[in-house]
Amino acid sequence: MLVLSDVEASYGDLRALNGVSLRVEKGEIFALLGANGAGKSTTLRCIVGLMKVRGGTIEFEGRRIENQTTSTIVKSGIGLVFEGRHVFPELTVLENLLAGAYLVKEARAVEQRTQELFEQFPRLAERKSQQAGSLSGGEQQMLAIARALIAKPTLLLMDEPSMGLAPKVVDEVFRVVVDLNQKGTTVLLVEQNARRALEVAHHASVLESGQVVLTGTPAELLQNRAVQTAYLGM
Amino acid sequence: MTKTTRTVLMLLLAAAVLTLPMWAGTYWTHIGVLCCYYVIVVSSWNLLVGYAGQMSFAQVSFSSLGGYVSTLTATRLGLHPVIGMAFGAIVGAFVGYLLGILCLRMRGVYHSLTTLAFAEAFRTMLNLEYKITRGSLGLLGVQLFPGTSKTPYYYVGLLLAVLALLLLYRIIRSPVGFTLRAIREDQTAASVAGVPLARYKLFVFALTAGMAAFAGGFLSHFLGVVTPDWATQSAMSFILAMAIMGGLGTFVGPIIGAVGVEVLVEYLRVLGRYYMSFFGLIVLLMLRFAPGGLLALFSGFKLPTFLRRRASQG
Amino acid sequence: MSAGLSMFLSYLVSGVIIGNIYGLMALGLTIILGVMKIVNFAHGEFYMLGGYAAYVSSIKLGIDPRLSILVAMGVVFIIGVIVERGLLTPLYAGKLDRPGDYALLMTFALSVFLMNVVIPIFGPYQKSSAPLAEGSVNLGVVMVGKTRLIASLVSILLMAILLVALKKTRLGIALRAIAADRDAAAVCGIDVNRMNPAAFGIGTAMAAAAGALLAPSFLVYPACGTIAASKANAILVLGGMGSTKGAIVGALLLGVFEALGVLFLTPGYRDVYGFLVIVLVLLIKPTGLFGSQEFS
Ligand SMILES: Nc1ncnc2c1ncn2[C@@H]1O[C@H](COP(=O)(O)OP(=O)(O)O)[C@@H](O)[C@H]1O
Ligand SMILES: [Mg+2]
Repeated sequence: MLVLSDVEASYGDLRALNGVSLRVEKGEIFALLGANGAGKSTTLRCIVGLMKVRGGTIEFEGRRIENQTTSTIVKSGIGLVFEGRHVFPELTVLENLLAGAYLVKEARAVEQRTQELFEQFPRLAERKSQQAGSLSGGEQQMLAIARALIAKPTLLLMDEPSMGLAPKVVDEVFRVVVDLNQKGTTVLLVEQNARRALEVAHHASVLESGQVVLTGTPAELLQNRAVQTAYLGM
Repeated sequence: MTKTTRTVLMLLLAAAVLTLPMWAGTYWTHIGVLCCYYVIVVSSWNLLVGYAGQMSFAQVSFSSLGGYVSTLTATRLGLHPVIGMAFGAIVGAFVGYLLGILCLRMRGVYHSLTTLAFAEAFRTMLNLEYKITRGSLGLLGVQLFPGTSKTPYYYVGLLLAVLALLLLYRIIRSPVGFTLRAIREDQTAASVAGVPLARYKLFVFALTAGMAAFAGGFLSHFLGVVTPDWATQSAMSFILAMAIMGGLGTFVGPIIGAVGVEVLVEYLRVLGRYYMSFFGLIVLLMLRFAPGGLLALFSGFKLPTFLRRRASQG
Repeated sequence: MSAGLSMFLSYLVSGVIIGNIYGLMALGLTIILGVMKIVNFAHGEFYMLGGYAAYVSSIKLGIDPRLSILVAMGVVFIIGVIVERGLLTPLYAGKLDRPGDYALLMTFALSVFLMNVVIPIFGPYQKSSAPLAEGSVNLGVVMVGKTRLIASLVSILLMAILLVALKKTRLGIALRAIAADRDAAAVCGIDVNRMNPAAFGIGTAMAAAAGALLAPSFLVYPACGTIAASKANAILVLGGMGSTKGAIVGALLLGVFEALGVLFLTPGYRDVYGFLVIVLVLLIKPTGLFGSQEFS
């Protein structure tokens, strides 16, 4: 469904990605692991066109999407939940969802999807007219996910959705990930919490200094010595 | 270009500049004096904006302040114009220091807004304080030299411009200049590295305002008049155009820009009432298509200028 | 009532009536700031263009003076969009080292250009557009011309429409989303760079509306935008840069400050108070009175 081949990107003179290659299959949860600064977020930013791809190609459902505008890429069915959530703090919860539904042009459809998401995330429904900036971290994360889901992406990119959340909320986030995957959404999950990510993933890759150093099933990765010491603290 | 041809060209240029009054006639000698004035004002603004990164739209406020103070010192107190110029420079530096204090607290947009508001307030004051400034009529002043020859002004102007450039060059090449650039690039990092930001910023504000005021004093004793027109946004746009055309943030750029724009403007005057709009259009196009300056354009953007185009990034 | 107090009140009332029109202008500045993250230093010149457009429309073409306000807004909206496309796109191309400074220099140069470009067209002398109504109204402390009163009411109406549109429409929510978080807005599918001309056009149209509304009361001349711009800038600072509610409160506060200034300082300096306000406010609170950088 999503294929990255030798993707390169840099911030000024600093090379952040040195030829990243990934293959995400339709219907799976794919975990992208790696230490801080390995280039995980940069990879996602390249996929959605927020960052210039200076080499290599990105294919989504057979079509080349590298260096297209973000809105074109999003229109083709990719959603992104940012690291650090990035809700619109001054907008209300409802307005955040409406912004997420920007590409859905019919008012009826927007109404219906908002309703569905409020059913799925009842806490957001309660806080519908509250400013998003006043929500708790966990609520903001749910809002960020809901805002990405309202456009019904076929592929959802999630950047460290469990970061900075209380353990109970982390459980909830992972439940949501598994749930939406079972409903048919493909997920590319970036996580520092490698153990949890490998529990839910079908395939995973490890990124190091802007390159994929290891790819396999969770079982394979869990048995790998290097992964054990570096990411699982064994 | 080989080193020898370069040296020969430089020597020819120097000779031409030094002998200008002898071959160029009164009119162009007059323009030559104006060029000297602009070189000082633009190059000092370049230190403030291009090197230290402190955006300011008040440079012409200081040159007109210098002109007024110097003229008033000469006419009201009967002192020699040179004393007036020195006094004007001191007042200019002091007011620049005060504006610097105001701007210290402000970042980015607030900072530029303050300098612009200051410039407007100052110009309004020049117009309103009729008893001192004669309002929009301007002040008639005292000539620096007796007689009508422009030649002595040209050589004094040239001397002042060269001295100003030497001073600026020494600052830019010194550790102070290095620190100023560090502040421009990342003032938080500079501050973390232990740079006393306030002291450096106030220093450039005061120095560049003082230099502009000194040049303004000189100009007022050359033209024999100073008016609020010196302090308008249009006047500021000349400074801006000169610096941009040459390459803001380079040392030679603004010097070439000052002379280039001043000469260009003389030719544009044939356009009559269209000339300022045409000039404005040129400035817009230049900013739009060669923000690093024409020099940078010719050198393929290799020169690191203030608004340079950087290596492309995502 | 003492003479001082009644003078204060009359300045206050007329200051607030006119001030809210500058508030409309500041609201335009706020939208541009919020979406594009730049302060438009040529805002005063769009005000001036609005004044000239109203003059041409109402006097030269004989169009109804009230309709002329809409004409001015439409014309300047188009000019604003062209300016944005022509001059401001490098801001987002990622090729400039200092986009913020580029924007300041560019809009400053634009302001000088616009100020000069109207001289050969309309001449340096003052023009006045057709009044919106004849006669005046006694407000107790001061007599106010009906034209000014109507202008003020129209301005309030326009502000209300704008605020509701920002709150309720798809475009409004998109603009606010961009103002809050550009990348996140892009990932919502909002074509963020296409929104810049919209924001710039709307923002400059607000300045034009202010210029057209004040054109019958104050005269229109090439540099007439300078004073208006300094007031709008003061309001922006008072209101805390980028908050729409702040722009409105800021306009009222500036009216009060000006009235106080006229009372305690000299009336001639009325138009310089904007600078004093900017300085005082920023010295006390460097982030503006409402302390927020947000656009809500
Ligand atoms: N905005 C930026 N400017 C400059 N360098 C950056 C920026 N963002 C990230 N980097 C650098 O790029 C590399 C990859 O960063 P990132 O993709 O954020 O890593 P990760 O998400 O895996 O922690 C790091 O070395 C980081 O320092
Ligand atoms: Mg990251």
